[in-house]
Amino acid sequence: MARYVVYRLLQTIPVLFGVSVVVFLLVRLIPGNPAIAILGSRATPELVARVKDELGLDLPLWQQYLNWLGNVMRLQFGISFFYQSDVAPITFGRLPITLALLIYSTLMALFISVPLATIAALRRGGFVDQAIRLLFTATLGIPSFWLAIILALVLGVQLKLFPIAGPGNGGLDTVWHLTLPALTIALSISPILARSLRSSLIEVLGSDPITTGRAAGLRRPTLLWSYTLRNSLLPLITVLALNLGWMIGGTVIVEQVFGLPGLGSLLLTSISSRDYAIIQFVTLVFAVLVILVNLVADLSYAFLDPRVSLRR
Amino acid sequence: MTAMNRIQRARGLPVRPVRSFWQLLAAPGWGRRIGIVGMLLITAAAIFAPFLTPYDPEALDLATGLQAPSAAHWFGTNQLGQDIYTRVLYGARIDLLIGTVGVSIPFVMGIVVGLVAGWFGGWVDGLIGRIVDVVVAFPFLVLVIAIVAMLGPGLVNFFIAVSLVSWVAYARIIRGETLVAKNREYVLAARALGYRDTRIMFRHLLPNAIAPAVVFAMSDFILDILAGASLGFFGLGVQPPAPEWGVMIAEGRNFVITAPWVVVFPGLAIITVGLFVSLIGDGLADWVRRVDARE
Repeated sequence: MARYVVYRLLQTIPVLFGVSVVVFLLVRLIPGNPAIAILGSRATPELVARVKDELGLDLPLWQQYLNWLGNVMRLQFGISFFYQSDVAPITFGRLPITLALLIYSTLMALFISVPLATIAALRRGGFVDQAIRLLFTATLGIPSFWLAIILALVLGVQLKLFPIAGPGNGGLDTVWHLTLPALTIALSISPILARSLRSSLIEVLGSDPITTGRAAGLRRPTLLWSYTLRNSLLPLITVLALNLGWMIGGTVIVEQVFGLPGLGSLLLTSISSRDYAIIQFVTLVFAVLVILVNLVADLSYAFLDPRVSLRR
Repeated sequence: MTAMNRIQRARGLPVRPVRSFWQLLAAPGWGRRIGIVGMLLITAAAIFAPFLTPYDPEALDLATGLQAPSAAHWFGTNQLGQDIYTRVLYGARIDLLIGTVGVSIPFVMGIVVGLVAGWFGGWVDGLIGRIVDVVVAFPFLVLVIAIVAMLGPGLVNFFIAVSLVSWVAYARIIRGETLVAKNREYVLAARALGYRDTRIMFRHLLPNAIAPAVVFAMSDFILDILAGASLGFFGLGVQPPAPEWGVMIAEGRNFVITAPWVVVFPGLAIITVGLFVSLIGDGLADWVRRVDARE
């Protein structure tokens, strides 16, 4: 187990290095002189020269990267031209809402997909299975920004069940305000979760322990809960971690539509204010979040299923 | 393709069935057939849009703004008096283009990279593997948005961003398939005959490794349309007044309470395309599984 943990930790180093290179190169994609692009309408020859000097744009690319990496190592992630302050506190201030949204929508997605996948697997090939499959096939192509507007219109404006804008006043009020945004993301991720859970359930249902349990005359609920679901939920950790990127894409969209002050809306508003330092840093934070969650998922999976760490 | 299959059959080497379009349509499985016919109809509607509607998608007529669906305007009109039905039809041209280009370029890139990684192995494979690990660490939409933010909004820059990001999925799939197929008899035979690496890779390995990538391309097509429409919605993709479906939804957003049809119909268009393409993808996946089982 310890060897697996070390191995898995070492594995993240080259990925983190590559991620830093990509994030650094992002700003090089700006066509023309980045200093002018960063300054926008404020660009005067003196300011352009100063920014160019600050960013070291005259140095060779590898040296620019090393300088940038050195700053990142010293936790200096750049200055936001729009907010006139360090990007890190601005960005991390937005993190709680995004994390809350991710956790809330994950729970909601499990609440939707686990029962439906279980029914589909138990009635494999039957009418209910086909109907659930068709339903999820249809929901797969729903654009989140459209679904967000429709949910806000129907459940928010017409039925007045949930608030449709802003983060609320903390605590339960925030949970209340996050319900529609989380539901939007949950509905977009549920088809993927349900599909993989259904196939792993079918696999477990046909396995030896279940057959033995059946032969021993165990009651159906016992078989289902203690034998089947527990074994089938494990792969779901991996599926959830693998689809975190998809869910983060969802948070970017719903945060903007529902006016939530999270990382995603920070990313989108920074584009119109041409705040490249923020765009760069938010992208980095999202990538690191994905890497961390996948690391935790792999380690917890290995912890829950010893076969994983022994294989290596 | 067919010539090569004949030669392989003559040599008694394993051959996958010829996957012509008509066979694809005729093979059992209703979902796939409905999906293919549906997509053909939508494509035809996009091409022949001028014959299917009397209106111009971008002509302004403020006198008829925000009209509810009626016999004259099937899907209603938007705040500028433009006919929504007409704009949805013309929008299909843009959104189907988004899906097609957004799949084609990464598809070709991923196939070449995946073949190279799987065939040569060693440090080439290791290097490509690390690059793939890095790209998949970024959430797809976030990286696409970040790249477009740097390059500037617009369809061409969206295609550049998607090409830079989504080739990795194809490369992974083709690499895996190549590793399996590499040691099959027909590849060993081709090697024994002294064929060049490129010939074996593209003419022998690729036809046998491509099926799962084609299946994935169907979900990728939907993903690209969703991403393209999302960027259009946020003003980062296709620019208004072009009738891209995401742009149309953004236009109608402020009137959604009084005139929901402006938002509803472009969204239904995206969902319909997604449903048909998913049906094709599911059908293809079943078929590939069946063919694999037979072998």
